[in-house]
Amino acid sequence: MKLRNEGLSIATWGGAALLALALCTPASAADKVLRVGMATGDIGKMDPHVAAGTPEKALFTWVFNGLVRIRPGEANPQFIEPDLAESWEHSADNLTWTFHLRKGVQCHGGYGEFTAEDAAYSLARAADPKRSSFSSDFKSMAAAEAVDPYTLKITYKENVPSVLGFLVNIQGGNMVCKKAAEEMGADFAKRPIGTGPFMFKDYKPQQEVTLVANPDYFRGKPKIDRIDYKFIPAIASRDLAFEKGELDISYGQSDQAWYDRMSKLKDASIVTTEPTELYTVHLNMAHKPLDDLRVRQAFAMAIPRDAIVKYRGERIARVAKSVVPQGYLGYSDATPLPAYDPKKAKALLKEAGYPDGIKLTVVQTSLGIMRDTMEVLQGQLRKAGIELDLQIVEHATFHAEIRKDKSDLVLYAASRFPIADIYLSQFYDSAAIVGTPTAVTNFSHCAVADAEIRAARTETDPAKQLADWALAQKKIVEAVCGVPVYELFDAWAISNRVKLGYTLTGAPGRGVPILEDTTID
Amino acid sequence: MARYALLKLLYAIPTLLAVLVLVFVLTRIIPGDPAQLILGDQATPEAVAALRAQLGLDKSVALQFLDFLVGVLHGDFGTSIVSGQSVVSLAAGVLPATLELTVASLLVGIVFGVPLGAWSAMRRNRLPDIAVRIGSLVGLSLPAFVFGILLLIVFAVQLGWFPVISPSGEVGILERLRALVLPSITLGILMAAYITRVTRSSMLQVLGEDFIRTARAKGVPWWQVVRRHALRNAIIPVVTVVGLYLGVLIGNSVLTEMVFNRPGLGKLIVGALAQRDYPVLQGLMVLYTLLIILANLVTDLAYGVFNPRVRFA
Amino acid sequence: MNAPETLAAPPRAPWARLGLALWRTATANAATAIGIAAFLAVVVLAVGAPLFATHDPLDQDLLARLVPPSPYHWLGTDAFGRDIWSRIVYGARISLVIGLVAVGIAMVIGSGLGILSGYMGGWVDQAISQATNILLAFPSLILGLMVVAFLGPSVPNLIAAISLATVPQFIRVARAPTIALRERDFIQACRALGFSPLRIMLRHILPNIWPEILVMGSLWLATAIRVEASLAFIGLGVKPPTPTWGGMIREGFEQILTSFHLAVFPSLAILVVVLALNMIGDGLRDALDPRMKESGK
Repeated sequence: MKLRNEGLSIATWGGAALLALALCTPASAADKVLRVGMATGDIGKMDPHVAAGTPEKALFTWVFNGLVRIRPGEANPQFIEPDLAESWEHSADNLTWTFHLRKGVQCHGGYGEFTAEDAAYSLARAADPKRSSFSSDFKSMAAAEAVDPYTLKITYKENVPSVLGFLVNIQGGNMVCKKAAEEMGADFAKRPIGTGPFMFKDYKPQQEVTLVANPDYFRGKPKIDRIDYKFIPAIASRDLAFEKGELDISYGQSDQAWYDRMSKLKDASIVTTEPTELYTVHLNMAHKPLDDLRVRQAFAMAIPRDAIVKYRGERIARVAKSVVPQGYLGYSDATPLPAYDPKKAKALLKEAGYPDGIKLTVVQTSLGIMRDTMEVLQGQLRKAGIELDLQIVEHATFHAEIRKDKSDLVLYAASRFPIADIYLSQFYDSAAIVGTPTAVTNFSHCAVADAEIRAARTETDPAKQLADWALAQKKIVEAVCGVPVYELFDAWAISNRVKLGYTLTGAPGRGVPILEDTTID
Repeated sequence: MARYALLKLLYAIPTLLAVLVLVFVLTRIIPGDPAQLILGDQATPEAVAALRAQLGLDKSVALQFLDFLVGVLHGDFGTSIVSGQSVVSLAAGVLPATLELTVASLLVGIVFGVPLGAWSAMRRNRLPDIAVRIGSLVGLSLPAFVFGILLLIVFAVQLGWFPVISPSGEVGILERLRALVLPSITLGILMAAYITRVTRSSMLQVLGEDFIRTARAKGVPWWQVVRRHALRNAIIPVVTVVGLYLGVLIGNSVLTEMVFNRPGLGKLIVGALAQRDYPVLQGLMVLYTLLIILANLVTDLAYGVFNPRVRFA
Repeated sequence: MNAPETLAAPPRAPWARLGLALWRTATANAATAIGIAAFLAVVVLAVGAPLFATHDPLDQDLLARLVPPSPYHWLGTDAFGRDIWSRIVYGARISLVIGLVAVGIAMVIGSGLGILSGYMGGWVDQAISQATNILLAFPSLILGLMVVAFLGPSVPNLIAAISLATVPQFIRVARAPTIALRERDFIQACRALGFSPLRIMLRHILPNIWPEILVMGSLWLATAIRVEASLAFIGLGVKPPTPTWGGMIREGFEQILTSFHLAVFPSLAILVVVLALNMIGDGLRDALDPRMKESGK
């Protein structure tokens, strides 16, 4: 009897002690923490309508929603599905769109329910060049207004190739909460408030942002309790930290050697994701001798695209086939790019009056993969008698100099919303030529396809629109405004302890989506 | 001595001003537009211009400088263009990490450098001397990142004794110290290499002096000679090098900070420059210059402590 | 106490004295001889690079990248499939010039200013010290960026940037012992004899602090070559595809976990040069140190 009593009391005490322990450290022992390593020294403004860098965008994927989203794991707009809007319809002329919002969605931090008013505010904010980096995406939008708390009406001035595309949860499509944005003002960029599965908690300069699960998330409380989003600029340190288990998801290096080495790790998967960045050499047609079509053709023929892709890695890169990246709506490879032929390149140079080859001066950024790519091009072009004099400058200087038209050619890597129009308008429409008031990133002074690009932009007949885009690409390829080299995927190392809950092949926001179902062992 | 220190600090004011003017003017002359960098490549020229105006970058450099000076006199160092965080909070966020790493690597340098240098001098041209000399040069020739990665592979990944990336949350003092070991060795090895060489060289010089020979002739044991007389006199150049590196360490720790993913002043300055984050750059340069001036002062005072012959003018 | 011997130093030209000293130590000290031989070997390799290189240092073989050392590629290939041995041989040309010239300039200017500052004291000292502080306040990366912004990226500008970043170190190293020496009896004696300050500084102070400056100089060479690598990060580096040791180390860092040899071989090349120069420096030190002659034995 006595023994049993004692046993009981020990059990009781033990239980009480355990309970006390559990109370002292609320759930912390069982907290599911996901540690993500990103290739950056720090994070910039955490305002989804302002920041355009990959580190910020990846964060927005977890904090914000759009009216619609691309199905997690995909990058192609054909997989668009409801997000904050449950359903939508549009007028016959495509100019008026009505969205029916989900009820009961809560903004983070007690800023109340997300309503059509917030959505209208958010779109107006994204369209305002004073508050947004992405205003040009919304220049065809006439107005966004709340019809009632759960109905949003958007009207357009002209036909837009993909209305829904600009409303997915990236860039200007991210929905912010009006009250929070207005009350916090400049502080909003330090403590972003959205409706997504994770809420901003803390920021440590040069170290990390901590996010915690949003218990009121409309798709259900996330299984992961906390995300430690760590800034680790050196790839070797990220890799070692991942290898040792100090990171669960790590941003990789776009290099086959990296891919091969990391693929050998047990308990980890190496994943490459779309959207790809297309690396294009924009030939400055306003500079001699590149004003001569034969010289530009020679340049294009001196680049062994296949060999360069092998060098970069076949799991990491794919051969570029047009001046628009593959998979974009309107992409066309009907006109093949000039094939590799260094002999013919030399002959063309001779014909153009340069029997001894040419020398081009290039302003080049010192930033990793851009510089690598340029050095490979330099080594290959050398074999065809084209010397590149590389003025290596630091990245900020590079961006300033190329916009002043200082370089004979500009190597530029870009991924855009996957519609041909955006790529063509920003890089090949003469309105976008650098140095002009409407400048974007037309470094080549290309003006051969303005009519087709502009016609396609507002064309309502999809077949006619595709034909216009195909013709534009044909003209640009034939005029050799730009020489596309390769498309590069993002690469990630993901621990097998992480169960994403979907198949990852694409990440429009450049970060791995962490959903309510995502968990970690 | 107090008067001397005060005077030195007074002299520092024009230095500080000169550094400020230089930073201010130079950063604005070099190409690069923070507004463009923040907004990215899809932003319209209109948006870029709007942001420039909002940041006050459309004003003349002189006016911007005046604004900045007035701000500083009111204790306001402004906010980061890039992240919107206040400069003071950014600096305060990284300063402890920088000081911690600097002091720790200084200790590594002194603890290894002085005895090894002295030993090397005592055993001149014999095996220990040659080993120490070559060893210190290996430490010097290996770039911080190569050495740091090597340490990480062996001691963090293989043996698991230390973390790869420094913990960033609220961690205990022990955890913090553990994370400090590898970075301070990486940075301290350079320091140790210099100190070893300088100690050896100046020890050799002192050992040749009359008073040492006299002491030895009197039959004082050699280790007492070294400790009481030689080392004390040989320490002046060592103090110089330590003082010099106290300043340079802070700025040159960028690569070490990158490899071990530690926050730090050096990394913050380089990052701010890359982003053309003018307010952060200006604020940090003030802080950095102050630290260097302070390090100088400490060095100068240390001369007096170690060598009574130095008088403070 | 040392005044008589120091005052009686033979009135030969400093350079003749240096050469003589070098010869004397080389014949007496094996380490110095090895140092001189190793340094000469590197110089010969650099000058005769076309003879010693096994490949074109610029030729890319994209399908044979990151190859480990083999009979065909002695030290393997880099990320672009270029032969590392050939790049090290050619890289010696530029890296040696950058390192030696930059440190040489900094050493001469820096120690001159340092002695002046330490000996004269007063406002001269203050002015030089504060200027040093201003220079020291700029981390070498920032200093480098500013130089390139004004002058553009090129080898001479690179040398200018590295010298500028290195001068303060020499000022400091020369100033401190000068202050200590100034108070010593033999210098006081010189002053009492009415020697001009210039003569005292050149003839009596410089020979006494020369060893420390020399040691610093040979140590800084490694740093100077490495600084070139870190400047490459911000765009001040030597233009690609020209090989330099610093640039090769930078490229090696990108692949450090995959192919360690990329960063290690150029680091070893730096080590050899630094080691050689240090052995020479130590030998010189012994030969030039006025007190060492009688006491070293």
